[in-house]
Amino acid sequence: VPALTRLSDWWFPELEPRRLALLRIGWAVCMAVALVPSALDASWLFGGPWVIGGALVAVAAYGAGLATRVTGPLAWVLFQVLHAQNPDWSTGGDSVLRVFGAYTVLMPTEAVWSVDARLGWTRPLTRRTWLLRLFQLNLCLLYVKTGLVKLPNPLWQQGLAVHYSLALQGHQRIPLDALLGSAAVVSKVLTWSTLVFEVGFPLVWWRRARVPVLIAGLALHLSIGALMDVGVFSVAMIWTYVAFVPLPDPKSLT
Amino acid sequence: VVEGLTQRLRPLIALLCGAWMVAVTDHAFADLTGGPWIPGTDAVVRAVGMRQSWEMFRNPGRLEDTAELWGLRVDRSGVLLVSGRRPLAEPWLSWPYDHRNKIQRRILSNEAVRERWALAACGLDPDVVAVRVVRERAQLPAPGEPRSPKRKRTTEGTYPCPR
Repeated sequence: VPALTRLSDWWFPELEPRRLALLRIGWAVCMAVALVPSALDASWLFGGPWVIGGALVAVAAYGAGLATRVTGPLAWVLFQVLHAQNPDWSTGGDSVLRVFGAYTVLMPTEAVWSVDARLGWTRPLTRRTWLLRLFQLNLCLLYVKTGLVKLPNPLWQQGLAVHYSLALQGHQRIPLDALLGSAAVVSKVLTWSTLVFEVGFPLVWWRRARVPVLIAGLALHLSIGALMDVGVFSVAMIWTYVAFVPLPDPKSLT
Repeated sequence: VVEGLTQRLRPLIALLCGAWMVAVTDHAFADLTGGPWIPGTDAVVRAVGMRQSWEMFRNPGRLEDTAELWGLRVDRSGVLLVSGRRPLAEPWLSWPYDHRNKIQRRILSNEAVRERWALAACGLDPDVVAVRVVRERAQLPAPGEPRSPKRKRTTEGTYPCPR
């Protein structure tokens, strides 16, 4: 049946080697951002430095594209072990790295910008292409869920959620009290536009809307990251956009 | 051989991918839908390390709680070992985000974690015979209002130090 064939073919997109390489390098950078500060407190957090040290070595090797089919999954498994050792350590940013990292480390990401490519240890780009689709769909699921779950909350309905989020001193990078006192309207606009963006994120599949959606998401996560200390969350969310961002044709650059 | 096999198995792989996304959706939306509705999906998603809830800033709240760890000496005097805002003494958590958010939250919400961190804090001062965990609660300012300096303190637990 042609429709079914088209549907099944949709799961096997043509993979762009630079996109895969950016996913690999981006994940490794985000993992380093998440792991390095906690490595300083490894004895407090995990009872010793061995697992987090091993994870960092595996992440560095994976980021460099060295033996990616081993180092990527190893880094992901060690990340899981750290969360099992100390469940208190896990936050939203870690969940993003864990879930989307699982798809990334199984993809053939070593075709370019990697040691593996130099050594000729590459896999055909036609393998496991469906993992990119799972990555993209899971990202849409993330946004729709996080938007819908906020809708019944009065603070989100009244447009006060951004105000109270920025007032949390535990997350503040800079004192925002003066701004908070005079910006109720700004809070309403930002709160409601955040909800619209999150629930509307699946519009990213529509080619015409893709760039505006990604720019809006970039603005959202950059502003969160600039104003609030949310750990690796902002960086990790921006990294996930690599799965959607249109890349220029390399021939057009030469 | 692998390429040929992949081509032949495309419909099956597509079906499995669709089933996986249904399982992940059923798992992730369980709190909204009253699910999970499909038996086994939740267990499978969790078993492969892909649990996900995506509830970031679901309820920012009008209050902010932080934990203080006070050391108690034999003469009943108290010493602040760990502030709710930032570390006072080394070694504690070097990274502000870990200290202020990751651990703070769990100290206040989980009894076992509270005890573990209280016992760890015993090592910060050799004269301390017990550690008291105090919840410091601040009301966040409403729009247009100044931040109130008032803080409500409640004891969450007192834990004797092993000596």
